[in-house]
Amino acid sequence: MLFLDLYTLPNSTTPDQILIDTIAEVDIVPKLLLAFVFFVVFIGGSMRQSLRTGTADFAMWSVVASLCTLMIALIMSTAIGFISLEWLVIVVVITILSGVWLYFDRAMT
Amino acid sequence: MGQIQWGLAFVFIACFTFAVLSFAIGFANDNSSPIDISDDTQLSLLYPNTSSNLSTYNTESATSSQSILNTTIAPGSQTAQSSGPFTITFANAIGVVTNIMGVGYQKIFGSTDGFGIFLSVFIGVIGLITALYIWKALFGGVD
Repeated sequence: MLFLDLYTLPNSTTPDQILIDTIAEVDIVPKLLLAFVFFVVFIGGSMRQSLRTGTADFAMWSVVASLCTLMIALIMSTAIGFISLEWLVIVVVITILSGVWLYFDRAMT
Repeated sequence: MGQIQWGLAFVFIACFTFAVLSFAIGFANDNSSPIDISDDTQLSLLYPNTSSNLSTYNTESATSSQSILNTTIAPGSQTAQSSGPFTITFANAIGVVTNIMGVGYQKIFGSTDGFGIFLSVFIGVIGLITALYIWKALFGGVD
C-alpha cells in the first residue's frame, strides 16, 4: 500500500516504543496533541461558561488551558522523543503570556 | 491613578512567572527529565531575574510602607494629622503573626526557602496595599 512506502510503521508486537516510533515518523503529532489539549480546555471551558453565565472569561480560560498544556508537555519531557526543548519553551512562554493577559485583564476592571 | 491595580498586576505577573518556571525546573529535576527548560539560556536567566525582582519589590514595599506610616500632614484640614492609629494596628498585627507564620511555614513547606519568596511577597503586597489605602485615607488620589 502507498502509506507503507511513505512511513515506517511502528512495531506493534512490542509496543513499548509505539508512540515514540510514531512521533519519529510524523513529528507534528505531539504539537497537535498539545494544541488539542489547549483548545479543548480553552474553547470548551469558555463556551460552557458563556452558555451558563452569558459571558466568558477568556483570559482565565487561557491560563487554565495553558497550565493543562504545560502539565502534558512536562510529562512528555520525561522521555526522549516526545517533545523538543524548543516546543517545551514555547509552551512555558505561552503560559506566562496567558498569565500576563489575565492579570492585566483584571487590572483593567 | 490605578497604582494599586497596576501594582498588584505586575506583582502577580512576577509571582506567576516565578511559580511556573520553578515548577517546571523542579519537575525536571525531580524526574531527571532529559528535556529541561533550565537548558534554555534565556529562560534559565529569567528565573533568577524574576526572583531578584520579587525580592527587590519586597524590600522596597517595606521601605515605602514605613515611610507612608511615618507621614504627617499640616494641621488645619479636616483629615487626620498622622497615620498613628494605622501604625499601631498594622505593626502589631505583623508582629503577632510573624511567629505563627514561621512555625506554619517550617512545618508545611520545610526548611528550604523555595516557597518563602511567595510568603515574603504576599506580606509585602499586604503591607504596601495597606500603606496605599492609608495614604488614600489621608490624602486621597490613589485608586
